[in-house]
Amino acid sequence: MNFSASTYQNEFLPADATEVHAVVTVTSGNGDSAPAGAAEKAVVLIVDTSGSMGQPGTKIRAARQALAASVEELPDGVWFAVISGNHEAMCVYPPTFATGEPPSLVRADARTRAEAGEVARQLRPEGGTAIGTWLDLARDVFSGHPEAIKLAYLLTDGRNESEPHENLEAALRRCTGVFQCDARGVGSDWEVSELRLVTSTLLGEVDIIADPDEMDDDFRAFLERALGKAVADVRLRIWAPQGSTVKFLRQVAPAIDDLTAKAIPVNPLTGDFPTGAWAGDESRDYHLSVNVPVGKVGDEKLAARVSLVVDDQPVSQALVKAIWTDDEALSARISPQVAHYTGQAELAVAIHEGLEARKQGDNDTATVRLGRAVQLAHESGNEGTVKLLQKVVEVDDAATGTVRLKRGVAAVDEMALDTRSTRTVRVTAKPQDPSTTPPTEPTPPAPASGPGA
Amino acid sequence: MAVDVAAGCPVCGEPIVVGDKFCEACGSELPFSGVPAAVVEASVEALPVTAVRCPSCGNEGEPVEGYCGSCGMRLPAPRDHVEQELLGVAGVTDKGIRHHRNEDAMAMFVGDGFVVALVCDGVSTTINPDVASQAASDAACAVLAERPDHDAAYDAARTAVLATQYQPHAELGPPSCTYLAAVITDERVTFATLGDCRSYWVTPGHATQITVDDSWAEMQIASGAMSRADAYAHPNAHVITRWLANDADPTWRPTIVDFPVPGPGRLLLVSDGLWNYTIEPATLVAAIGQGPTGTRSGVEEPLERLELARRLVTFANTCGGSDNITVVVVDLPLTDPSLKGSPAS
Repeated sequence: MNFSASTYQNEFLPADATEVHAVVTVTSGNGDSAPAGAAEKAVVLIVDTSGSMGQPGTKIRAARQALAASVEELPDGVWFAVISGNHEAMCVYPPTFATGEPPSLVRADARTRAEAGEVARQLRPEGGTAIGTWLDLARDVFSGHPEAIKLAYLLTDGRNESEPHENLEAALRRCTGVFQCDARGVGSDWEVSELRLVTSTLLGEVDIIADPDEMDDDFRAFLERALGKAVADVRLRIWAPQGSTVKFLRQVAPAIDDLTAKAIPVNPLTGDFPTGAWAGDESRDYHLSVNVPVGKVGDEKLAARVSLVVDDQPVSQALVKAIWTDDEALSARISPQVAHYTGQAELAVAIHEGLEARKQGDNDTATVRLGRAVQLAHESGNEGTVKLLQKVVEVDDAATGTVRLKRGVAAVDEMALDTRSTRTVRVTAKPQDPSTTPPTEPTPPAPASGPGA
Repeated sequence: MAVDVAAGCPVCGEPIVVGDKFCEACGSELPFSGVPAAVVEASVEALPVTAVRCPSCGNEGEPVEGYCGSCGMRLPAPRDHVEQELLGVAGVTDKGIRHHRNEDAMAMFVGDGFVVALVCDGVSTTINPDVASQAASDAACAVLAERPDHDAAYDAARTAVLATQYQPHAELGPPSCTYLAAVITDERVTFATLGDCRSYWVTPGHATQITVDDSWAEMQIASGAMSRADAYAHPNAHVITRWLANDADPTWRPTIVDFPVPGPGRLLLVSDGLWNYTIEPATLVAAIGQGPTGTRSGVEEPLERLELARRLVTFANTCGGSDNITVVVVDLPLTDPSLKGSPAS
């Protein structure tokens, strides 16, 4: 497993500028060292068994089926457990509660797979919803395997109504850094912001399962992702010079997630930002903004060093620079990557604000914000988001963002847009290969201005 | 008017620093213009490479990839200030003040009865212009050291620039530089020039520009569209019209200039980091100093070549150092007493 990091930025700043932006692309590859699959893997499947899962019964039936099929396909040796969650939490497999032992994981083999499948098919819907309690139990279940790559999958159809919100927040604090968690909302009676809090804190992904029939595929896709992870704990270690501040660090691809508040101080100038487990063929982009003390024209500063840290060892790094110049030809350029992801972040905000305004009955604001979202999604080629927006608004002109709010929008369509608004696309234009540069124009424009070369 | 800091007080020779109004030892008045001392010193007197003390914040901790580990300022690089002296030829190239690195490069060679000198200036708005200028000057110098063939030397420079590795960029051109080469003998000097590095012939009280820039200003003057004064006052004046790069017109060849040596004198090869401040030859003469082609005031002995190059670099930095500065000085005839009978180096 190897990592590489590259920086995209315009390092040239006009005099008096202090804000430095860069996009850092981190790519993992299966190198000569430990192949993917070498690390021990642990998965915990948390399924909502509250009473609402039985209304209609298609939800619990789909959950039983998907859960049973998933555990029955687990490869030998994978550590796993199944948690049934309502206003309480119970580790239904392995059934340690029956012997009074502390909850734990079990290794997948022919017997445990069959037993777990049997248990899954017998889950019954009853009671309320207490997500914080479920997560605390998952933490206990994982606790015997500190070295493993630990991923949980949480499925719910409702709001966290059986415990105070503070319980969820406290549980998330306890679980941070222990395991990662994806979350799925079934139907439209759950709260996007609640599950987003879970996945943003526990470095997972949130999504909607609008139709219970999609559950089977989604469980499978989760396991495939989980089993593909090869390294447990990858961190971005950011050094920034004395007097500077990291204004923000965002993951911007494949989806937007603000990491700024996750900083763990290493020394006065350095902080670690956990990014969770990585597979051997991943690529993620990060947008970093640093405020540095202003320099003189001609000064060149290192605005940040972004190191990739695996098991506390730096494995790759990218440098973010700041060069102050009075040559506008240099400082006026905007990095296409930085511009693109600034737009994608604005897109997510526009969708969020548009949906909020619509909820409040402020249709004018909703129309303006969702119109702006259509425009941004269209410009950047984010077709997935355009499609989701089209279920909520009639698009008259995507280029100018002229839209009309649709009437009678299905709740799941609105929630799908909300949930997936943070998904981004990458910059489409690729840099030219020097060997394929087309023949020169007869008279290229002079490359230098001001004091010449 | 400037003072050669490296030479000390012009009267008593005691050490001085830029910005001093009077010599601390003898009290002589020092004609510095009002430039803050710290700015000029930091760029002119580059620290040795081994120094880890940050000249910006004083931190002595471990550097981070060539930058100060505390304030992040780039630590002085070897190319920020380079001095080179061979028998009969000397040069100084310097980062200046307002650029973040030195993209100028120079090369020189002393043969049997001839001297080769080159100055190349990397184009700032391209990728790795510093690599381009170094590659071009080194490759051409190697050819000219063997035979006085400007065509072959330029081809070698072009091949070297085109062979440099780089990451393509949507808005920056490929590695690019200007090119000025001179093959110097006692009888004649042949130049090859592409771009806007300049050559001057300097005799006591006089400086004459020999080569003509490939620049917007010179184009306007040559076509009769503008007067010299108007052309140089225009914002486009310094835009170069020809350069050496992968994306340059492949039919561009350097202009060859044959210069019969009229008698004893000094030859200067300079980048625009100097001549931006000496557009009028009279300004250059003043910067060189009084007496025969640069002497210390009150002393008849001519300035050594390296001292003159340093003096002109300091002059450009005192004027603002808006670009990288390179000055190469050659004395003619080459059969200067100091050169007589010496082997090629």
